[in-house]
Amino acid sequence: MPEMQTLPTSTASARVCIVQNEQRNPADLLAEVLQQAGFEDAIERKRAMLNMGKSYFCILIKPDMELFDHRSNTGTDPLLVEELIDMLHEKGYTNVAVADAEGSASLWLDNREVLVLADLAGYRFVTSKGNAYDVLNLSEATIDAEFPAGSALAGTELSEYWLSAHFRINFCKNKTDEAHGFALGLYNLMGILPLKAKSFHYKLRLKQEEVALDLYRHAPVDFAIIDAWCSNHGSQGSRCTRPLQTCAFIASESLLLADWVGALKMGLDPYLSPLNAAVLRACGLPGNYQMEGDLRPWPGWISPSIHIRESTSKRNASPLTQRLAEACLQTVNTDLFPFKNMVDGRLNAILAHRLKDVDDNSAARWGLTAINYALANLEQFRQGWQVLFDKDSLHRIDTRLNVDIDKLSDADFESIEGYILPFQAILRYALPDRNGLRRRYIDGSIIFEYIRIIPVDYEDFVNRVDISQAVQMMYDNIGGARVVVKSDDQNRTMYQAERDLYLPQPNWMILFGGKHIDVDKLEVIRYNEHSCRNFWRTVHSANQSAEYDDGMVAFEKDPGGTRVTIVARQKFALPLFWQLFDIDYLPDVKEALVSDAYSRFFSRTMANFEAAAEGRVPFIGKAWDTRYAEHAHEGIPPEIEHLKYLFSMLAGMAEKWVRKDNAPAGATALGTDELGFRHFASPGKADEVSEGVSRFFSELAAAIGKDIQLLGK
Amino acid sequence: MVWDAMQYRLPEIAMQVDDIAEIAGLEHLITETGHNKVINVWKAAPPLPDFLKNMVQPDMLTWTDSAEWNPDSRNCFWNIESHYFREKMICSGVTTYHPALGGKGCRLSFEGELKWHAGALNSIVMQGMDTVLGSLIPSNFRKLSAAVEVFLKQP
Repeated sequence: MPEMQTLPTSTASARVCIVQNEQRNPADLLAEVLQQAGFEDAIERKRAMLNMGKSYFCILIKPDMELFDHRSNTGTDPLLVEELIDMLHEKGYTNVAVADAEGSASLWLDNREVLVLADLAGYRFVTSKGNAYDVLNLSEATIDAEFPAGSALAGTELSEYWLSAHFRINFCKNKTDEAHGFALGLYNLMGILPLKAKSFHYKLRLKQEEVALDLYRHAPVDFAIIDAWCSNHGSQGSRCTRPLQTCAFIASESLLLADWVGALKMGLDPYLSPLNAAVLRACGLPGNYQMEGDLRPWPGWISPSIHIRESTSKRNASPLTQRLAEACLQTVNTDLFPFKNMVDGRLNAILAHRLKDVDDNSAARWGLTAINYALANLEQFRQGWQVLFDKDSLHRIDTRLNVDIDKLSDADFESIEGYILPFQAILRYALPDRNGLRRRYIDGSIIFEYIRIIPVDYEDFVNRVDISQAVQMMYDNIGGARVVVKSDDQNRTMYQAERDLYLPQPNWMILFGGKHIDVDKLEVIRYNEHSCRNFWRTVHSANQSAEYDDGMVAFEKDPGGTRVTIVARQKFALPLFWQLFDIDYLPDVKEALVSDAYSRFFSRTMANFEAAAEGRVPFIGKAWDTRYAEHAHEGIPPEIEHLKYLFSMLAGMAEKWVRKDNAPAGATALGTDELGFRHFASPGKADEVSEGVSRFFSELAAAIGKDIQLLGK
Repeated sequence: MVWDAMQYRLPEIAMQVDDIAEIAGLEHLITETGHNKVINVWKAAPPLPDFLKNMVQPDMLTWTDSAEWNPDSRNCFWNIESHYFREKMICSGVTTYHPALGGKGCRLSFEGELKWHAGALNSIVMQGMDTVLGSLIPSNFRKLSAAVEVFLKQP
């Protein structure tokens, strides 16, 4: 019987209240929901804990300020935020401010600085009851937020305004989102991150789910309110206004719980948003939570269809298409927020209003879906190209550990060596195959040993090749995270936790939907006078790409230089195609494929160790620009680089097809003269782009062909 | 402060804007009604696409701006005359200065109209110029507004 999965829950208890009444005015209803949800109690508990006077107690409100018109419906209504400020003042809390950080739109629209945006969007800086308040820019006054080592946001700064506030209120809009399904409190929390190019930094450079998890854990809010007085529904709730008078508010001390109910009221699965799903799976809802109020879905609510959600998410995997889509599809009052450049403005004028009514106009809906998928496929093609032929153009992936190092004991590390060494003993009795690899199978996983002597003096070798980085130096490693847990008195790493991401193996698996290999490992390192060994064991694979990826790498003094031994146990998930095509029924073919793939992988890993020993960089890929868009640009922005890359690939392919039509082998058509004769350039004159495209297909064919040939042996 | 700076310090402020080569003050006159009449000559230097660079003559990007500043309504009516297109082009509008940010700032609202006489846009170059000027004039105004903020913050 399969083990029943239970949700993780946090120890705190909480309740969420929904108050819905179309007869009341919004200010009264807001006051009622806050009273029911224990708002003042929550403030008083925090104030008592900090032992502060009311007037010094700093309360920060983070509304959803994704506003592109005066009091537009895509964000929290400024007048409701001012009502909340008045309520706080009435209770004696006079130190209240509103805050948000600059968003991606400030890269392509004018007047998006937080103060100016607030003014134009309807914040008056003095409430109707005469209470003045500040609007703070969370992109300013940034300081180290002390995110822990191993987290996706390690080293990231946050605004001091946020960090030093005594009580933080997340006041989000009840709205849908074309990529996430819904965009509630957790989505709004992402808005506190300081860098302007939010999509670039917090969705592409870092994984948005990991960013959300780190923010939720380490920069939490004290109270969450959802403005559902006039909700924004439809397929594009973050982008276009489509008001629905739901006449309600949702409030809770738990952000996740408020979002949970908000999603249920939309008739959606609370796990639909990848942000909420990641945090719910990691942190869970409060224990013994209570939901008070009507949980029936809003009548007439329209949510984004699966086609829109899926195609948008795929489209947004590319920095170029995401940037273009943001600027071209956003409905915006250009009198208040003019476009910074003419091209964006023109494209927006053509596309935004044609593609905004996707819920009422099937041509717009399917048009947008088709455009999204076309752009997504282009991006997949680009990634495939890079993985197969241009690895240095890939960006390395910064990510977070999925291991809670505070919960690890010495025993977790000390047990690894005893787990690995028996495999080496088994392999000692295995005969080497035609590639010199010793291997056996256990529980569907392969165990193997690979040895090479590198002609570099042992002392020189270990000085240059850090054994603690040996796993990261393995072939096709494209990023990860590493945290030292324990060091010896010589400051050498003894225990460490590490997350590694590798390109799909073999690389051509990417064409069949092969995933990156993504594994979290614990490692223990042993040092002797003439040897050092790193033992590792996989404890988690975030994308289920690996069942086993355990092993040992040893550097030992040898008369020929340094003897490098790798022992490993591996079992990786295959793409669906290769799961259906069960190669176990062809044992000879399997043996040949496995031997070839592993010996290739490890001979290239040895080449990386040699490179490191010679002082060369053994890693593939390039680092992201972590300050992108923060200052005036020097050089070419990544989107343009991306566009050039795509353009050169596609132009080359098109040119090849056009010119090659009816041309003699190896020749390129130049045109037809007035007498009807067609002229061809010699093969040597074919341009580099065309040659690149041609090389793509021939090398792709060669890569697959090499493995397919083995089927016949 | 913004109101005064834009009337009397415009040439200095313009020096901070890349897309403006120069603003030269020609005339300042206080009328009997207390309005300030100001005439400036603007020389723009926008980054142009290569295909337009060779076709655009310096006069095409030079214009005389005649403005009348009304201190009571805090608005400024302006009229632009292009040195190249002269009577073929009519461009006029109003800029309004309002308190904003709870009294801590100033909001500048710019509204204008660019018109061409019949037949003026019958060439591709002229159509290109219409597009360039149509975005250049408001864009320069926005950049000037940002520059005045920096200018006023200077010690």
